[in-house]
Amino acid sequence: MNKKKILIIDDEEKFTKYIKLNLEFKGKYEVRVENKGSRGLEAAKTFKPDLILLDVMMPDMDGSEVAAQLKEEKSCKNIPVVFLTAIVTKQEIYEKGSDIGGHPFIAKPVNLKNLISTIEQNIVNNSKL
Amino acid sequence: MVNQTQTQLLITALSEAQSIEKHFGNTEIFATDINGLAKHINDLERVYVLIVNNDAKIIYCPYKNYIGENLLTLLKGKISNPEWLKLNSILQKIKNGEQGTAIIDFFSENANPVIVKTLLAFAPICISNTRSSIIVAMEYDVVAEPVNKNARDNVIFGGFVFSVVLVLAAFVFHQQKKRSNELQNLYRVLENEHIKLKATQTQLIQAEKMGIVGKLCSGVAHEVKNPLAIIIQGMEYLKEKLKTKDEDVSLTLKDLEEAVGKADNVVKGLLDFASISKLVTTPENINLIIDNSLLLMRNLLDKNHIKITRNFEENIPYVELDKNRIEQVFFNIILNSIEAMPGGGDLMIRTYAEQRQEHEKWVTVQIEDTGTGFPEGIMENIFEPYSTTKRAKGGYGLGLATVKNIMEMHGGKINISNKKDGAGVIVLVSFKA
Repeated sequence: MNKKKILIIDDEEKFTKYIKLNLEFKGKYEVRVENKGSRGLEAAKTFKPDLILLDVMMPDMDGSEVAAQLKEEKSCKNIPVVFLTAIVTKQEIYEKGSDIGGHPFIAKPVNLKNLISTIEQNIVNNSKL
Repeated sequence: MVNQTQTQLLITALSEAQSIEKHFGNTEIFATDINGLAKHINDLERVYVLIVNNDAKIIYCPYKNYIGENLLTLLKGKISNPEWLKLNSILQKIKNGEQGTAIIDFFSENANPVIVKTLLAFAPICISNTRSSIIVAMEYDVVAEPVNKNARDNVIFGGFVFSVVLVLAAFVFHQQKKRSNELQNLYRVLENEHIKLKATQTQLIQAEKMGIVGKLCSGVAHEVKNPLAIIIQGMEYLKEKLKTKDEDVSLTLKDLEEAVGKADNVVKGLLDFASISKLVTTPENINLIIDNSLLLMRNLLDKNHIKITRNFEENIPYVELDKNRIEQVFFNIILNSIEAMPGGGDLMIRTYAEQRQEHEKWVTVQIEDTGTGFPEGIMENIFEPYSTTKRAKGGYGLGLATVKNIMEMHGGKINISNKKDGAGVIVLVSFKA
């Protein structure tokens, strides 16, 4: 079975390290990590992930800017993006269909079960398209 | 003019009133009052109505060419010296804003002037915020003609004075009443404006305060949540890696997870509390907002066996609201109710509009549960941050503080009370429509 490719773009190095370890531990995912928005953009073109987990607040380039540039790029525009964000209110988490710039989001801190469920849901959604 | 019929006199008075109105660039009231006055004097024969200002300048007269002239200048040579002094004394009274009556002899205007005895009555009036006086004049003989020649002069005079004084009294009373009503209306408008400005000021101060708190909370949330995210992922890794059957290890990991969950709840609460620095308001139907909040919480309500009863007023007035923030209000209130009914219960939601003051319509939402109610002694502080009855369950004590802040930002009102029988809570949320 081909492993699904996940690109994580987040400036928190320790967080991305454990996410990568946990996802790869499941044996279903091939994970690449980038801790800078600009480097994440480059990685999206070469790594060609099935899904991108994208942090909203990063020092060099914020997540929404990365997402906008991915949309401009022909080879990347169909890659599903799931935002990771720490700044989200309790109500927003409950709201169905909430999104950031048209993309779904995961509120930090997230447990592995919810993380995988969101990844699967969005990869499946994409393959249907 | 002396020979003009009553109707002609009335028509002239009205048309002159219109031209005065134009001349002074003000008030509909004036024309209305002249109209009223003209009706009153309709029964009197050959009555002349003049309006003069404090300097005896004529500001209303049936003869257009006299308007703007000084009354004394106009009468010079048409009156004997003793009568001239009398007229001066009347004009002094007029200047003082007094009212009264008099008889003055004028010379007629024909080739062989004769003395024309004239009855006068005067009273102060206010036109376009300027104090003036109205003078009503009538030839004494004209009044006397139809009456029995033998009738006593004082009866004729008394009849005339009585009529004129009645007219003047009605006129002055009417003017003053109108003015008083106008002032009362103006006072009410100013009072409403003052209340509105005060509310806006409070909202602005609140917004600024919340803006600072908001920035602080966002910063704290970011700095706390990222480490929490690392702890969670680190624990997940350890769980997978250790795969031990040692109960102490599993218990420790579970405790850690719970502790992270509580810390996360505190930060979420802070974000909720701080997320109301700006309002984006649009006219909203409160019934739809509640329905949307219920829809968002449907799973939670079903899971906790909460039965909803809706009693919404149809065609409820629209209210200027920030939809998302008000959904947050209902979300927090309903969440409190759910947590107060652990074994399930009823949640009754009613909406209605009511007139609270003459120009004030309010829309109210009443939310009633069958839960445990608030313990005695906590009611006074329920809106204070970190005043919670749910701490043991991981409550963070910011839900109602957030609700209160949002309501204050909207200039709305919230009241929470335990039901009299102690079986539940009634929440009243009101907005000015």
